[in-house]
Amino acid sequence: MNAVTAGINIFKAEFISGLILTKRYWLNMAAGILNMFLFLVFIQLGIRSFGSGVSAEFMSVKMETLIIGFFSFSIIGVGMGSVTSRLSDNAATGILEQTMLSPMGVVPVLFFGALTQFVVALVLYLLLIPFSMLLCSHFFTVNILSLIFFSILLWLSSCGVGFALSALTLIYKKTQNFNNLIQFLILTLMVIPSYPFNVFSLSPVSPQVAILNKVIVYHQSVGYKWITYTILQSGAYFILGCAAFLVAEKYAKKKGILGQY
Amino acid sequence: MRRKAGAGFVVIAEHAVLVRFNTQKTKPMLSIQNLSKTYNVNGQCLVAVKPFSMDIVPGKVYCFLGPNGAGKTTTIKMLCGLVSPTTGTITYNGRDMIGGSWISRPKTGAVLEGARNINWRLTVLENINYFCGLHGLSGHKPRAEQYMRRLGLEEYKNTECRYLSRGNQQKVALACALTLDAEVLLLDEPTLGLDIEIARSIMEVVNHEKSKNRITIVTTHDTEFIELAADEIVLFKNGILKPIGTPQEIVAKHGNGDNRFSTAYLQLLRS
Repeated sequence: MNAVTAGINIFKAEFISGLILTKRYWLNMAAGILNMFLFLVFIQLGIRSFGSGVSAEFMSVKMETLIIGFFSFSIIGVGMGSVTSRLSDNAATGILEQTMLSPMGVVPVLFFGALTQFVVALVLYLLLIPFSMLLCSHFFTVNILSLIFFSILLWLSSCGVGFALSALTLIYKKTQNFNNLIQFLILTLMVIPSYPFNVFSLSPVSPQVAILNKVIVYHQSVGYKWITYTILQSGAYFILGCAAFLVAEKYAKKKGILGQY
Repeated sequence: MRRKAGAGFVVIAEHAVLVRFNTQKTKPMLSIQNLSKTYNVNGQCLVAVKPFSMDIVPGKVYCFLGPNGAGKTTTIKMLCGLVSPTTGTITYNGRDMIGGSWISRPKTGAVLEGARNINWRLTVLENINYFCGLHGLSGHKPRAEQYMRRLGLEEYKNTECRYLSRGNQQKVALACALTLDAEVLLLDEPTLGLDIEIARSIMEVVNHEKSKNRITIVTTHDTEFIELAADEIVLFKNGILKPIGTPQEIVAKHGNGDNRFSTAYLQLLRS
């Protein structure tokens, strides 16, 4: 068995069990989809109400910024949350140590679980955003391929942050409140000006959100250098997050605290 | 210091570095060398397992026996790779199991102590499929059916594990571990808290699995399990590990005329 085959089998196991649990806990899934949809609708209705006194062009840009902003925040949430919540969930259901016995370790299991959730979330957003816009009679053009591509980068970067947070969970166990605090840091990182290149461009998720805004909201093009930088930066944060997790795992194994939740 | 410690064993050093003579002419598959675990708790060193060495051959059931806190679970976790040893190496067919790459590690199935082995939101069959998937396996369905049948789980195969009794959940955990067709099977107190019927069915399956020529290590306090399934007993006492022979040898040596293993074991602990 090589790494690719093992990886595909882990992804299949995660994907199938994810589907089974989604179907089994359909009420939770349905409420989640409705939640997403209502958020999108109310963002648009709210802007319409507030924006009645401003020009149509300004209102349109603002609404697109908000929709893409909400989308970006959700993708970050999926990237970070799917890794951290999966770790806590595995610990709560008691199978964390069993998943760690998988030949490639727990990192691919968490990664493929997060990938499954990302794919589902992306598909849902690609369906719900146009539908909500149709309902609110508000339209803007989106380059779907660009949206998917930059979403992947955003997810990869936030997944790295998720692994780093999970590293803390492995050692300190109860870190939910700390993870909640990180949300505010993420919101800050989303709005800091990271384009053109400056010191903020080094932070996770910032350049990915900036590029999404530029390309999707303002329909501007960005240079290949900036795209290359964003790809490399996303990969680097992902690798750094995984490395932090592996260091924490090694420490937890040394201390014998891997499964104590 | 070198003294004879019983058939097949030689104590090489005072700190229980024990070498088990491989009298079976079988190539040892799992070799433990100088393995130990020390925890640092609030600045104090807590020795969980003192350095020990032993070879474990396939096709036999090794039972780790000893009082609570003797280091059995820590040793099982070191063998699983869930706890890093302070010193020592574990090799499987000469390949490093601790520091080596995942490709060199043997396929390991484990039933850990307590209810920490299965996803209770999934059914019996879904659990088996999930864990086989995580181990990169496909084509395991006939094996899954076979073990579910043997463990009496067929009628529950589409039941979510949260609805099963503790005993049946333990059977599911064992079915998952066995379906992996693991080269190393580690069972940490598999019959703990189970009624005699379920405990016995687990014992019978473990006993039957000897023919698969895999490494099987079990920790238990269940003397009936030992009498029925164990081939080699390894005693844990005060962090020291000592292979002490077969159940029959122990009864003959320490039983004082009583044929029960529990009497011999108690005598052994007190000695």
